[in-house]
Amino acid sequence: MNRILILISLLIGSLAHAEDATEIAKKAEELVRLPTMTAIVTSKHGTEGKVEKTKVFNYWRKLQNDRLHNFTLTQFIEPADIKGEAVLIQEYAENQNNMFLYLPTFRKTRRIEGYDQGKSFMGTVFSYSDVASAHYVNYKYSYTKKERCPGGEVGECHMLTAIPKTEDIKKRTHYSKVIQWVRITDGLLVYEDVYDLDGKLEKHIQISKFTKVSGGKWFALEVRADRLNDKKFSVFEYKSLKVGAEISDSVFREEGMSASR
Amino acid sequence: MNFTVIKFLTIRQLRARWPQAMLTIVGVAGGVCLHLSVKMINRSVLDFFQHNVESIAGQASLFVSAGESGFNEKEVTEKVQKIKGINFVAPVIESRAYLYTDDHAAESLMIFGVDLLKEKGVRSYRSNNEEIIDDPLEFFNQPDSLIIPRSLALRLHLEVNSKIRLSTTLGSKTFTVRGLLDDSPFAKAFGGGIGLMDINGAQFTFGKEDKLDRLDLVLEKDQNVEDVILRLRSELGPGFTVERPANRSEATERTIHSYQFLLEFLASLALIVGLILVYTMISRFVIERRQEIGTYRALGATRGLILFGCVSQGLVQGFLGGMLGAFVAIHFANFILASVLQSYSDQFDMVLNVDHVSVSWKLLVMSVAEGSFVAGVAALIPALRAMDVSPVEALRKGSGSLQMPSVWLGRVQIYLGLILAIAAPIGMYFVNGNTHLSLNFASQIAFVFGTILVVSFLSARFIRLLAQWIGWDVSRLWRLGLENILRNPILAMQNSAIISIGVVIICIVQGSVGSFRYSFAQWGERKVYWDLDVTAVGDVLSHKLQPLRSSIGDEILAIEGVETPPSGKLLGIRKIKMPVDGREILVEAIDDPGTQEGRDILLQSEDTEFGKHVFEMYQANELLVLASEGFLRQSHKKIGDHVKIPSPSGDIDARIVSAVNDFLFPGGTLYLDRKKYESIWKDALVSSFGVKVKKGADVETVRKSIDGTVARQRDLMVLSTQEVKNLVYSKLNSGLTYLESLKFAVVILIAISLINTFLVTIIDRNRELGMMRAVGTSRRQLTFILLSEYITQGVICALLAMAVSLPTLYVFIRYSVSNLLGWNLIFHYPFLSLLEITIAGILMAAVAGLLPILHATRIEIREALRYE
Repeated sequence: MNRILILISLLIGSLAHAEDATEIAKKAEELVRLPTMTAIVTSKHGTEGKVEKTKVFNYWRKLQNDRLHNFTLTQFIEPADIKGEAVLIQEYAENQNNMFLYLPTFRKTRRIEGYDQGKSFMGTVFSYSDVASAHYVNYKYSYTKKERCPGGEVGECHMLTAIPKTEDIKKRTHYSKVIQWVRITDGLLVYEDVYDLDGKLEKHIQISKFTKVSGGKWFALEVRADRLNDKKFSVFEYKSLKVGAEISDSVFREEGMSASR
Repeated sequence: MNFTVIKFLTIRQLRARWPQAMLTIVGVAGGVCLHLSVKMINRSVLDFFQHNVESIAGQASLFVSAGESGFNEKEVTEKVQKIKGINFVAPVIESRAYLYTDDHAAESLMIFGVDLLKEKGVRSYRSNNEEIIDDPLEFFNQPDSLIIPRSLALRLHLEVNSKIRLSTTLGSKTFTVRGLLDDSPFAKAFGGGIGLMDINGAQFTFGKEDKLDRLDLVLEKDQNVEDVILRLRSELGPGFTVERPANRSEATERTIHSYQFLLEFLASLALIVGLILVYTMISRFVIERRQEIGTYRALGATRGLILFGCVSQGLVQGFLGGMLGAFVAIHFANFILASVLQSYSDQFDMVLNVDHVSVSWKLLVMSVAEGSFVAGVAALIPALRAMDVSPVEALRKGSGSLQMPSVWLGRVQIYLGLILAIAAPIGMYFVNGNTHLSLNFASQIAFVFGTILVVSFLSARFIRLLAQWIGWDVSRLWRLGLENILRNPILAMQNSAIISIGVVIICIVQGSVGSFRYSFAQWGERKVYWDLDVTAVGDVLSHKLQPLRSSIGDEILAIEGVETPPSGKLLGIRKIKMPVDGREILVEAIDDPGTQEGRDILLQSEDTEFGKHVFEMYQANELLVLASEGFLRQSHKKIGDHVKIPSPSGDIDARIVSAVNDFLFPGGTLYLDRKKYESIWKDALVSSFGVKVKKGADVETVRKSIDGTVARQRDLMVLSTQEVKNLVYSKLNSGLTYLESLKFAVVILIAISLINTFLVTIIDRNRELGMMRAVGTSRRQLTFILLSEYITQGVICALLAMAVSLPTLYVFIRYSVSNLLGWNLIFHYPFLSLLEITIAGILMAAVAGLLPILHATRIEIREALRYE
């Protein structure tokens, strides 16, 4: 009888943790969900701490009416040989995301096939799915433990394990599992360990330099990814951040990618 | 008893006559080696094409294309995407581009332009998880981005970010290596001589903006491919080719099939040498051992057992020769591979990157079987004679000498020979070389066997007549030599047969080479309207030359001394391949020269009203074409007939208004107005520009001006008409090298065979030669007697073989070879070759006789007289 009680309490406990984990992830996502934002981003890419390439791009993001999915446009400013190149990500429910690449030399807009969204985002350590926001609804969460935040972050973190809910999501993101660390003090997602489809740890992603913006929301001014197998890294540094400004929907249309802004 | 008989008929005989057996085995081995080497090389070339297609196809089940001019990207892709059963559509641009090294345009790469943002659905370029492109942003936005196989990079000492120059529609352009392909099947296609570009970059580089060369289709699971093909064909119309990847190389294979057939035929003739050697050896055995065979028959050996034993003797030699030939062929084929590939490349404008000959066990076993079969067949006739030996008659003394063949056998020989010799040209004339290859082959074999039979029959008669004519007064020693030939009719017949094969092969090769050279020379000597050709660097005679944008013509026109045609545009010529009536042909679209003088000599023709027809071609509203004689011959069409030419907008009906002589393309050529071509096929590129120099201006000065300006900036070539002619000849000579090498290989084999038979003759006549020496014949006199025997046979056989084979050779070149290769060859036999063949006959006989003569003159008289 005692054993049954223990088992029941353990089961309830784990379910409660799972519920907690999803709730933690949901809150962490809501904290950084902004209606609109623009920024100028400097992307640095290199190996073993040495920066090899620097690119600068304009960044626009707008939350859709479902209050969950975003449209994101990046348009490169530097260096000169990629000036005007643009990447548009249109997120939709059921993972029906569209991604387009605009090539100014040829004045052509090309579609990036869904299957390849797990590939490197324009030669960086980030993938296209890293650049599009990950949504808690796409993952099944479990609470692992509470521990000190990794990556030199101050304070304690909830350690969560996120598994893609469907094979489609796995296939699209090329991830089999993501371990997330959410800071207990402010509920922000500060660190991720990403596992590839073979279950091998592929990269660390650190989200830092949070700044408080309007409506009690936060924005990370620096995101860094480190790939383990080749020791390559990429950093996105956000500057000239503007939140809540009106951005026309036409900015996020395929036809609008060629316009210089 | 059975075992004893078989042992006697095979092992003991081979052991007893081991020198002759060895030479026979070497003869069979030589034939097998030559035939197998050619077959292995031909197989490797076909494997190369198939491997390429499989490697580039990936998961694609179907290819959609519309000829080299391409088709509209948006319109056709949208149509295809809507068709039921298709899961994925991948666009492809395919073009060959010359790669420039520091000093020259060394080699060409097959460049594939694909949509790398969605290609993963069709094929993989990676063998590991490494990204191929380091910086996609840079790669996709730059038209100079190129990915090459790592193996190629190593060979050319390149790495990521290295620069290389390639020929493009704007002349040479510098490209940046932005990625390396590892050891994937795709990277190995075309022997690793490939380059990968993004689709937009490739469209821009090769002048195909908004166009595609091909769509690769991945079908939905469980789709019936044939149903999808039908749907595609009905939606796209006849201007498009919808095919499975496996069928992709068929057109190329068809193009080279005739050439391969010709080479295999020539190589197979070497097998006949082996056949004759085995036949002779067993014939001699049957005659000499008649008594022993009769004894075995008297002791109860069945006729079947005797037959089996004799055939086994042939089979053992054939098997051993086959094994030896197959072993040597593996090395020999690799040894001659490079020159054969060069010959292919020159003949068919192909780049063949075959590193080594692929050895197939099946082919090796088949060749050993082939050697055994030939030897078995050769042994069958003497074996049948042995089977008929009557015990009583055979046991009579004196029945074992080398007798004159019976009269009926002589009659059979000459009648059969004449029938074959007459049937051969008739077959060659009436049989269409390409559609009835087996009948064509039969005609050619009849030609060779007919010649051998007739020559070996007649040579004995001629030698007899010669012997009577010279009597004993002119030269007793020569007469003695002739008498010796006549006393050994079997050996004489064998020698005649072997020499005839050699002469026939030399005649075929000389006739073919002479006719090719003469026909090309006639064509090359034609007057052309323009003075200079301006093209991209590469093989100027090839239709695969990188096309150029027509705007380059305006830059050339601005140069002083260049005449401006009445149209105001430089004369452009566009050459592309197209499938017409199931065959691949060349379409050459030429701008109107604008003057009647130019039209009169636009191309070479025997048509007296050619200029008028050319004028019609440019003026008419309908599409009129000029057809090469090769095209008319192969398509069975005549002037006035209509021909359907495929285009992306459907089949275009064209009327043939005149015929021209040319050797541009094996499948034949159609000429048309470039303006009409551009409007129908939406292709404004040109393969070359024809530059006419102003009256009074110096051609060489104008050439230097173009060379120093436009040509230097864009890495173009400027060639005078004489240089183009020289290129034609040098290409032709290079293409014919293989044929001539084959001739020498066969001649060497024949010399070996002759050494065999001459040596046997000497050994057989040991006693007789010893007797001659004993009665006072000096070594010098003996040498003269034997040499006169051999040389007389060589000369008579060579002259007879030429006389018998030349008329058939005319039909062979004019019909058989012309039909096979699709060129209207003019028969031309270089008369010097007749002398060459006579000398070759003498030399073959004399050189082959040296060793036997040396043996004969060293005979010890006492030993020789004891010889039985």
